[in-house]
Amino acid sequence: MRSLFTSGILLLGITASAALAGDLERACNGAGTMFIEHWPGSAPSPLLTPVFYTDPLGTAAPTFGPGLPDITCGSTGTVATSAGLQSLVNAANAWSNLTSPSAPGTVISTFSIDLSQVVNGPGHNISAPAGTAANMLPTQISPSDMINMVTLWEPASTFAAAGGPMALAITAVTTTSTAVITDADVMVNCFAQQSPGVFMYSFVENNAQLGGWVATDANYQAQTGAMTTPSTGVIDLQGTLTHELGHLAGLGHSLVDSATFPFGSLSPTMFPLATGSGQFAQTVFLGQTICLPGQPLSTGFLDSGNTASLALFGETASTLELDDVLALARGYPTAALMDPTNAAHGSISGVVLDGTGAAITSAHVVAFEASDPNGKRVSTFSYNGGYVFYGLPPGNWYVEVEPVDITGYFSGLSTPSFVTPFGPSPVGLRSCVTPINFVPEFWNVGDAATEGPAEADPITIAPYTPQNPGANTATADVFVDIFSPAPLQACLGSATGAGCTGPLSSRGVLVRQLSRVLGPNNFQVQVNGGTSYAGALCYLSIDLNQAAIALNAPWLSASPQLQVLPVAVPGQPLPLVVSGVCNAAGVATFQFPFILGQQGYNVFLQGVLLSVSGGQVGNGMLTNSVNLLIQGP
Amino acid sequence: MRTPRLSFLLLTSLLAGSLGIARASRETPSPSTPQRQLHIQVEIPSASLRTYVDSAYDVVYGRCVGTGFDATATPWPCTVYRFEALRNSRGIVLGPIDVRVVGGANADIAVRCAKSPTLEIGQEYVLFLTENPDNPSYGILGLKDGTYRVNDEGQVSGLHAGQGEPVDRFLTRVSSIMIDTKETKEAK
Repeated sequence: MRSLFTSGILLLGITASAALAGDLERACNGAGTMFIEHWPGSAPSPLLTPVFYTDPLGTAAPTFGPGLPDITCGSTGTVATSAGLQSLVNAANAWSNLTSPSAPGTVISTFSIDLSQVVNGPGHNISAPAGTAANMLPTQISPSDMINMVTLWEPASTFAAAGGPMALAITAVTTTSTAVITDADVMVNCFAQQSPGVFMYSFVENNAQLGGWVATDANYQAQTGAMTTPSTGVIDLQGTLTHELGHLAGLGHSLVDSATFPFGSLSPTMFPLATGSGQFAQTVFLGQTICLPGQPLSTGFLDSGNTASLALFGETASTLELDDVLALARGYPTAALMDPTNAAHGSISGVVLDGTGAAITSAHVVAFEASDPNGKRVSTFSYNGGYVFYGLPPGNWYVEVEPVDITGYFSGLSTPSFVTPFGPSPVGLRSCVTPINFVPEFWNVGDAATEGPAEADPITIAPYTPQNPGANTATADVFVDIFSPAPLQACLGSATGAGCTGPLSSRGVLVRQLSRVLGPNNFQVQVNGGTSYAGALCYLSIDLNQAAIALNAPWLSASPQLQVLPVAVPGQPLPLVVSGVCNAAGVATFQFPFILGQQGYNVFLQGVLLSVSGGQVGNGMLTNSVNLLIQGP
Repeated sequence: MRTPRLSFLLLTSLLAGSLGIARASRETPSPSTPQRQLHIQVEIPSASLRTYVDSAYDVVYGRCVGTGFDATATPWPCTVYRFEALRNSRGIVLGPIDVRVVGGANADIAVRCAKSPTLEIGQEYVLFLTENPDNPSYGILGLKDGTYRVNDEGQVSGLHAGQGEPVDRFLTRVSSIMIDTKETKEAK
């Protein structure tokens, strides 16, 4: 037998893929042509086939999901008696025939999910296939059988090479070489065990007949009372399925986070899960944050309506956010979505260019509305520099562009999967585009590469009227500043060596900044200059002027409880500069106390802009601006 | 500065791409492009080191010595790494083993999975292994999250490794958790 192994990494170099997020996935062929991953047809409606299994624990009746049996063999039931099928139907409906968030009733997406094989008629009677459903279907997931299966009872071997019991769910999408989807299968790892008899996840479902949330215990029996043995997390099945069906439609993971806080209930459904605290979505602490400096996310960031169910993994993922809706609609648009005479919504488009006018592909472009930046926040990626947002509700929108970077994640969190485009690809694959690192930048009037990255102007999208026909469309071209390979010059602290001549605000090589709220009035800043700065003296400087901008921001003045007083201790000014030696990885960590202006609020501010500096003594400095979140008590 | 003309041209291309009709004249794949591509989206919640330790079939320290692609693996093609396990924490896995990770490519199919780690031949790692009951090989628990690279200075980097943490110290922490879990179980 010919050996499977080679003496070197298998590098075929014949295909390329880019897993771009917040958008339909994109894929490239070897010639550099990029394709949009999509189902064929102008109104795709992939048929989804739930697979029923005999309970692996021995229950006689076939079941789709954990908890109560769905169907007594040979009989019919209703969705109402099946929590698992309720979850699936709700998840499928969430993505089908999306309507405009600002114009209910206006369909903006042609995509739908067909569940007709399972749900019949207006009464949603379930028809079990002859015999048992499992007998009618392939016994194993196959990426090429053209049957789009949804399974919840996969054996452990299915997940063995894909994370084992840690894998919560998998969606496998098969495409042609031009990214046309031909098959998609969804597998939820309900049966994952941490150790024999100890299940990795406990699943919850909302079953009206049982009066609300139903959890499964260690034996996968339904429990309406206290949940038992949630080992790693309590998982909302509907939220998980909604997320996975987004992948089935072709969507990647979104980069649009709610905030650097695990309770980001308004994070898009397609935001990647990342935390062990049981949340579906959590911010990954990218150095390139996406909020306007000085701007809080919103007072409604913490969805108080879901506070009681924060432990429900993915609950809020069961409802789509604006980013999810518009991302799918961009891929499967109706005429109404792009109709420039539609009074309910508008569009912003433009290009992302460097200082020489060269187009930047795969820049992450984020738009958010000033009055509700948390709830109205959408993203896409540039292609040949171009980008477009359709379906934007009227309002004042900011546009920011940022590079996608592979290493700017907080070490305490799961590695974000969305960094793949610019990260090491699996063997045999390579990235579709060459990563270009640049200073995150907002669009502003007279945008150029040379002005400060935080200079931003809102773009007004007003309802279309015949008298003002262009009010709902805008163009916003953004010029960005490419990071230079060598540190630019700035002085700070004791760095007084040759070349240290510039001001603090000079742009330079990216210094990744990561922050973590340690508790009330405390947070931590981590400067990561990379191994180039191993052993160097790393600085953190506080830019009080920028902090003042935050305090003076109109959205803050309207919400005095969000004010932050940048003082270390009462009556003492915040230290302007602190320094520490970067470790071998080029990382230095600093902690700061902050006093919030008012107690008793769950306050999350993204906008106290600090300057993070790092560099070698006597060899110049480099600076970079960052945003921080500060949690109230 | 605004460049409306350029915007229009590029936007036109972009919109066409969104509609799935982009660049029709260029959609003929190059001869070497695989006819099928498989995109695996894996959701892996992060978990504590204790959870990883308790869930791992074994935790091994060793070196990647070979790699290959198994296009016939089910349900999805895998990259297979030959790994020389030099030390273990649970006393189960030692010596040459096969570690299978979803992803990879050949001339017929390209499989991509963002969460899959890429092991380099000659590079040392600490791997949290999961057992494959249907195959005489192993997987990596949590894919990238269960993969720790060991640099030339003997320091590990990964999800739960401390900054600059020596591999010996990291493995000692792993062993301590194993002992603690065992004692807790015995106490019950």
